[in-house]
Amino acid sequence: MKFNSDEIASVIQKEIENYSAHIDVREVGRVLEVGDGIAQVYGLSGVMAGEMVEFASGATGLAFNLEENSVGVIILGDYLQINEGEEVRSTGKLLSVPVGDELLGRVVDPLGNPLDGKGPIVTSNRRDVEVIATGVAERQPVGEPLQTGIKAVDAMTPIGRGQRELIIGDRKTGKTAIGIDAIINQRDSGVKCFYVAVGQKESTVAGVVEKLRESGAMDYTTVIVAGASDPAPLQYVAPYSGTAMAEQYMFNGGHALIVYDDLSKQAVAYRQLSLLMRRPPGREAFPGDVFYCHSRLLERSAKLSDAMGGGSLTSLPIIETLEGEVSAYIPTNVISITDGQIYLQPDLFFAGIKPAMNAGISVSRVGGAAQVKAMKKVAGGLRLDLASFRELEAFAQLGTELDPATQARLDRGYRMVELLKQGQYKPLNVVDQILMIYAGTRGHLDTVPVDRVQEWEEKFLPFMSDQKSEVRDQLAGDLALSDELIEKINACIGEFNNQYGFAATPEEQTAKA
Amino acid sequence: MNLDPANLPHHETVFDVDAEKLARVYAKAALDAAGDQAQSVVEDLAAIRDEVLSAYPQLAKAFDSALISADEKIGLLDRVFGGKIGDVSLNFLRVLAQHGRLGLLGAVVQSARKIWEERSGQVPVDAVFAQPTDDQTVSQLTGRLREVLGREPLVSVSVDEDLIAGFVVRVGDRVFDASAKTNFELARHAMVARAVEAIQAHPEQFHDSAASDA
Repeated sequence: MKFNSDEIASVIQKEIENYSAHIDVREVGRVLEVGDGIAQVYGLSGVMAGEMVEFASGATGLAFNLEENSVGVIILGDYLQINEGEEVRSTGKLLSVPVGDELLGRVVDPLGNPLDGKGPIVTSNRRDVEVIATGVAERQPVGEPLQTGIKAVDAMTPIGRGQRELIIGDRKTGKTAIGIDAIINQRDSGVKCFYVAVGQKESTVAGVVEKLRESGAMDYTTVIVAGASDPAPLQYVAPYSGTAMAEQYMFNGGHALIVYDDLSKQAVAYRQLSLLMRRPPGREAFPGDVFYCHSRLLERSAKLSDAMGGGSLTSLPIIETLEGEVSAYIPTNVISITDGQIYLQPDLFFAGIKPAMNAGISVSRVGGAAQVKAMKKVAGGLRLDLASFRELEAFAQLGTELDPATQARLDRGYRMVELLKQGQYKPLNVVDQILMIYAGTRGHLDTVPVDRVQEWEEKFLPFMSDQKSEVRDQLAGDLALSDELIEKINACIGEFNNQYGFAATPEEQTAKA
Repeated sequence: MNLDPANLPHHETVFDVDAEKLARVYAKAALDAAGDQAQSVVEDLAAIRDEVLSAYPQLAKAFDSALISADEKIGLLDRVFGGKIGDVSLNFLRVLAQHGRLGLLGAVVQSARKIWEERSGQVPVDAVFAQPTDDQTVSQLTGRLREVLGREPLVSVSVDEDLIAGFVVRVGDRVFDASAKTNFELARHAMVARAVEAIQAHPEQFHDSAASDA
């Protein structure tokens, strides 16, 4: 945008005319030592815990440790410019970030400063970064679905608006992909998205931003970046500031989704800060309040009561495990805080099953209430069936002779696994998901060869939307399966199988009989 | 770089916070023990630091050394300071030696001075002016500060031309800044904030139609 300089000059002129000199009274301290993103400050005797302080060279900090005769400050920004002896002033304010629609489509640092070179973020709306989560009276149970567009997730571990669903797994198992797909799928849902990248390579984040832009998701998404080269205080504070930006929508009756990628790195940054501040180390050298660090963050995700506007904030925290070790300190903490977890396994990933979700230990504790009726009906026993199929599959590998019933369960299992495979950045509409899972769980795919299941899907979904749109529309309207609708869908599938040559040959039918 | 050990640069902010904490305990005890003679104790201790320890750094090293026993240190104290300083001061030095804290003497002196100033209703004030000032201005300032603070200000004056004009007064952690430098800075922030506010409120007013047409 071009600005008219005359107008700006007149505003400044008014400012000068109204200007009156006055004495600036401030409370100050002096830097005793500085390094590794923290500073010890002498003085500042009236500073509050968590108060924002300003260094004379321009950086801001947070009063982190209040000791008997000095204050430990974490520096949010460039600590290399700060000198020993420099003046530090207290501001009397808590840390806050800009919020609002101006941030959508932007890439910002944890203080809300733009990093994408698209000009300043002009807004005077701000929210405190650290706030206490809403209480019991202001909430209501989760009851509205948040569709991720991923068949395996929406069918087996459904996520509701206001839920916290953990995505956990080793490195390179597709954790970020699930979060990104969930964001991409919010295109028409009106849910605002926030992606908080903590301690990641800048190149990885650039790739994610580019992908979001390509798929049109940046229109409703804000990316908050505290990269691997940013000082630990910024990495520590990034999830909180992302949450503050998302809460703006929740408290105004809107819906927001936030992905924390990932909280293991934030815990490591917090450990670094705490150790430098000489707080006593506990298990795995993490400080004693690392649980609170995550619980107070995730507790801010909520579904607000109707009196509060009914807004929601859904969060998808990501935790990276080492060698599948879920009983390490941070994973167990976050598992216990969240309302369920999606567990991704490398062996499934390398076997080509993507998303590599382990159905047996992935759960959603509250999302079932939020699942659409039709999906609930078709996917009811899917998770347990798939888990028992895995056991059966392991048993079948021993080469024992199997009875026909067991063989049939195995065959169904192979097809379901094939059916739940889904490419990255290809979220599916919930109606399409219901149709596919209906076909799979009700045995309509049993006659389709395993290696042709994906081909079947690719052809069946366009067939339904092009040729049988009245059936699809009815399902999309009700999102429930009446007996009449089931009949219609069965008829559609039969017609499709005949038309595209997926119908069982007579020999197969006699063999089956 | 070669540093002359006798003439090291002194920084106000280079000190050990833990040592200061300990020193405060000893300083408070010394002043409480001295009762009415608190001022003379403070002066004695300050004299030892400024006239003896800084002149003979080896003595300070000996005080700090763990190789010299407490008894030897007490003997040394008696021989050097006996009769020259008050009994309370000497006793206090003996206690420090007994506890192996003689090395903290510098920090103790500083704390004792601070506590004594506080108790006697005095408050140290740093006043920085942009230009050299006359005594009248300083006494005017002192009088005004006395009213505001309700205590006797001990004003130390210095000059810093970077302030451009005006002055900065520092009382403890509180800074009263009436310098042109800070006022300019505040004015700059206010102007930017006002301009941003105005642009936000009426963006159409600022849009240069000629530029957008081009």
